[in-house]
Amino acid sequence: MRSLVGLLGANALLALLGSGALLATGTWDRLRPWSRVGPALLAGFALAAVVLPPLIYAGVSPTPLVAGMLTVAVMLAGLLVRRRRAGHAEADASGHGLAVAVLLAVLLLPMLLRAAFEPLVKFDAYANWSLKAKLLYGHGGLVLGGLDDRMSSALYAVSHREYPIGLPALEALDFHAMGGADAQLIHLQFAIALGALMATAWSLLRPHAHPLLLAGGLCLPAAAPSLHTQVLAAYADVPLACLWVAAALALGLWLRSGRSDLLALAALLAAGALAIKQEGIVLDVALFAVAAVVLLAARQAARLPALALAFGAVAATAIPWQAYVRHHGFHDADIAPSLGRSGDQLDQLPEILHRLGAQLVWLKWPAIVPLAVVVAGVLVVRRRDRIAASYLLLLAAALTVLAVVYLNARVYIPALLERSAERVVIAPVLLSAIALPMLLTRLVGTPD
Amino acid sequence: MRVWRRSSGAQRAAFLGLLLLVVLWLPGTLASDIRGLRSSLRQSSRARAEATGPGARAGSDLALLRLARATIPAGAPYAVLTTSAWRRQRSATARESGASWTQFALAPRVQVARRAARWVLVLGASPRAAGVAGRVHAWRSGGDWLVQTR
Repeated sequence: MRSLVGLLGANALLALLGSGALLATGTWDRLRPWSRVGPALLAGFALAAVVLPPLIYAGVSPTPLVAGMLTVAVMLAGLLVRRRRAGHAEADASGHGLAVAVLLAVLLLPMLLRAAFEPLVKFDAYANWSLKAKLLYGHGGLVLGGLDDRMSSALYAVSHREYPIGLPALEALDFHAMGGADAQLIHLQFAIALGALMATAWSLLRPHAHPLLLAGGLCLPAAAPSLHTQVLAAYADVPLACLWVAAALALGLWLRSGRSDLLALAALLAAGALAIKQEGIVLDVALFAVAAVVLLAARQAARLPALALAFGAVAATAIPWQAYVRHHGFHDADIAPSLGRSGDQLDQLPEILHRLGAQLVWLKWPAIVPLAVVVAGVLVVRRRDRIAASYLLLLAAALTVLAVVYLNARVYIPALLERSAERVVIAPVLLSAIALPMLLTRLVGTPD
Repeated sequence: MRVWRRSSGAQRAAFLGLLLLVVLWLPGTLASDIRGLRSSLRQSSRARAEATGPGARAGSDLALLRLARATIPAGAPYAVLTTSAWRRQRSATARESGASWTQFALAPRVQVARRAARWVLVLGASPRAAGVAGRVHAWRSGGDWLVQTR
């Protein structure tokens, strides 16, 4: 019980941290009170994943005290920015989403209970993510400590020392709040991240999607066996996907409305994705590149500088991580960008596309991607719908960059696909799940 | 209900289509979660905490790790020594999984090179056969040993 209270307390702290960020961007005033919970939690998750690692590199420990001080600073800054902003935006008048939240909680209850008692047995969880978290937790004091140089020795090469430490930092924060490294209960953190994405999707999409279709669309991933498997694996792929998909949603809505708060929120969430896992680099590049193409196609080149600024800010957040990795001379044993290697392995492309494609239409996902693609295809062909075209373009871009990652593999590609294809497609699948309600709404009628 | 009444026929049909997919998939997913939950709850909390994948089990000595956790102080570094015979008997995957599980199970203790550690886990040989000098205490677990050195 102590661990559970601690975990929930850590997430309440993250939600407060995210609230400060939402106050600063201006999204806070656009949402109704209960609709703020999901975006605030996801924004706090992203901000902590971005800010805690540089602090850890600088010798600060990822404890609740440090996160609390950070929260106070961000809240004060957010309130100050909000006060200086001329006039408050009008809040969205749609529902809070409480009924849908209860429905999803009921559907996910067995998974939540299972997550609380699930042994941590998946390789990447104990060899990489939670191992680093346990070390950061065990070596940290109340304010200082955490990172021990001995963790970067060759004996820990299997733990992917070159990966960003956003997720281990968050897990270490949880462990501190829980009063111990509870390797079972930590699975709940991954379920909470998924819940935060669903709540964020409701809050941001509600003005653009019919409530029935939005509720039905959000229930689809909740019924997907593969998503449950991945949440219970305690791998970084689910938090990465949650942050990236939420960033894509915010950026998509910025393209549509031009609201600057959404661009800032998208940048924060994309930076969070980048701080969680390597794939965040290519997925973020795909996201911002597609947004640039959409602006050019819509003859809105004047908005490109704002987009470029946001992308620059996202990229800048990776500097401390890259500096740390280069300083220690870490290299990825599995993937390394090389034009020569990509060219040599081009014959593997059909196999890569086949395996990734098969995952997208696999029965472990309830037809989410095929359905979204068909609906988007109909909208593009019959109505030249730009939102549908943007979704298809982003889906194709995400799959392309993931395929390129595989082409740059230094290991036997079929074996790498065998152990990772199921989880790397979570981001494109969740993107489709979130896009589907809006696409269906556009196909069959108006949002209300 | 008000939302339902205010919806068009096409919107209702699309919603029912989504609901059908949920109804088709959800029972299997929930059943799997409930099976997993019951399987976890059948184990004691210690068994759940020590549960490993098959590779980690083959590549480490769980009893030795239990002993090491109880014996090595939380801040003390440790080293792991394996014999060539021990390594030959295990696949590369089992060795890698076992090494990682050992690091996870013993964290926050940090694994270091032999010369920097006063605590040594010797797998597949006696401390003497493994060439561990300066022994203060030694604990045996099957064919493996935990050794405290000077």
